[in-house]
Amino acid sequence: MKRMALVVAAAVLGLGVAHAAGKVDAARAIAGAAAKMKIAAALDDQWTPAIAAFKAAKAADAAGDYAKAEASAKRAEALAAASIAQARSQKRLWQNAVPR
Amino acid sequence: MKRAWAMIVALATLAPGLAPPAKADPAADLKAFQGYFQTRFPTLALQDYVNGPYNFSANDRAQWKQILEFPPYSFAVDAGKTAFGTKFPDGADYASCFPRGGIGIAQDYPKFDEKTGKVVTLGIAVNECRERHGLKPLSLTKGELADIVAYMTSTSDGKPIHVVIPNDKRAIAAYEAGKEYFYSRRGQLNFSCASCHVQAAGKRLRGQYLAPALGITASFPVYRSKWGDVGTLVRRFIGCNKKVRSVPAKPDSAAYRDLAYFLTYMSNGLPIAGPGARS
Ligand code: HEC
Repeated sequence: MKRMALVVAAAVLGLGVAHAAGKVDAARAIAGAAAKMKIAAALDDQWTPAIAAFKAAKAADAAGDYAKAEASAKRAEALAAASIAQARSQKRLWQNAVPR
Repeated sequence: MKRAWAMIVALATLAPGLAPPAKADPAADLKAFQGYFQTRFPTLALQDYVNGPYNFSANDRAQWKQILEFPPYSFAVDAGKTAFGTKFPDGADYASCFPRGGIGIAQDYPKFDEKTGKVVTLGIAVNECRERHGLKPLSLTKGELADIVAYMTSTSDGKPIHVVIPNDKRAIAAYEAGKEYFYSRRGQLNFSCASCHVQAAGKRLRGQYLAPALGITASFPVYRSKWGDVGTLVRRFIGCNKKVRSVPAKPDSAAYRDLAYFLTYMSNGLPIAGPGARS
């Protein structure tokens, strides 16, 4: 009986820790996405799916679904990173499309 | 659908030339740009380009001509004329803000403003006039401002587009920025304006023919059936940016001012044909 209570307590504690870690991870991922998206915006090349993923991350975070928040934020960050790469490479490559 | 996109991607990667970047030379750019289209579509006369997508399908053109018998933009022109003629609370009016009272001047826009160092489109000039007389600026995409610009543009019908790039470093920088914007791929779909309106001009995309970039500004503002009202060139920029999953710039941003400057300059010599009607 006593052992049982101990196991339950440990499980609850474990869940709590996991929950807290999820919250921290989600917040970190959201901050990472925000930073990358700021660079993309400054390069005049934000993608609409990055905005959508970021909004989804914030909504999931507010609803306490930290796993979903983290996944969406990581997607937003990856999209922003791709748009930054696009904008930087276009700084050179756009010239190739000009009729001469 | 998939095939159409694939074809445009393929076309877009066939770049017309790979020469190294040259010093800014708008006049040489214009010659090469207009020459490119004239070689591509030898049967089209320069002034035909103002008809945009309707150069490529007799069917679409016939339908469009029919629509033009009762031009759907005429309400906007009338409303714009009334608004244009209405005095401001301080007793001034729009006419007082423009050369020649604002009549027959649309072909000279966008203009470079030496005082601010910025490009000013006709719509932005209308808003600047309002603000000078204590009124709030209007939306640059539709509504009253689109009506006023439609009216002003109607008084320039047929006049050759005459955008000037003065020999001022800032004007040339604005032109170059507009040019870079036009040719730079953006958005998740990785298209530039040029991918669709230069490299794929005259091809079909989702049942629509892609208007060549030459003459593409001449009919604005346009009444679009899809919109159900009249919209400005900036409204179209926003729509085309979203199409490639790119977040549009702000209507009065430097990016869109410069883009309009470059793109309209490329049509110098073609007649103003606005306001226009589109599907
Ligand atoms: C994915 C292809 C695509 C891209 C990229 C694209 N457009 Fe378009 N654009 C269209 C289609 C489709 C239409 C409607 C059919 C037509 O008129 O060409 C259109 C219409 C227009 C029109 C109105 C033409 C007319 O005669 O009514 C303008 C102006 C225009 N686009 C400007 C731009 C600019 C500037 C860019 C870059 C910011 C751009 N477009 C990028 C597909 C594209």
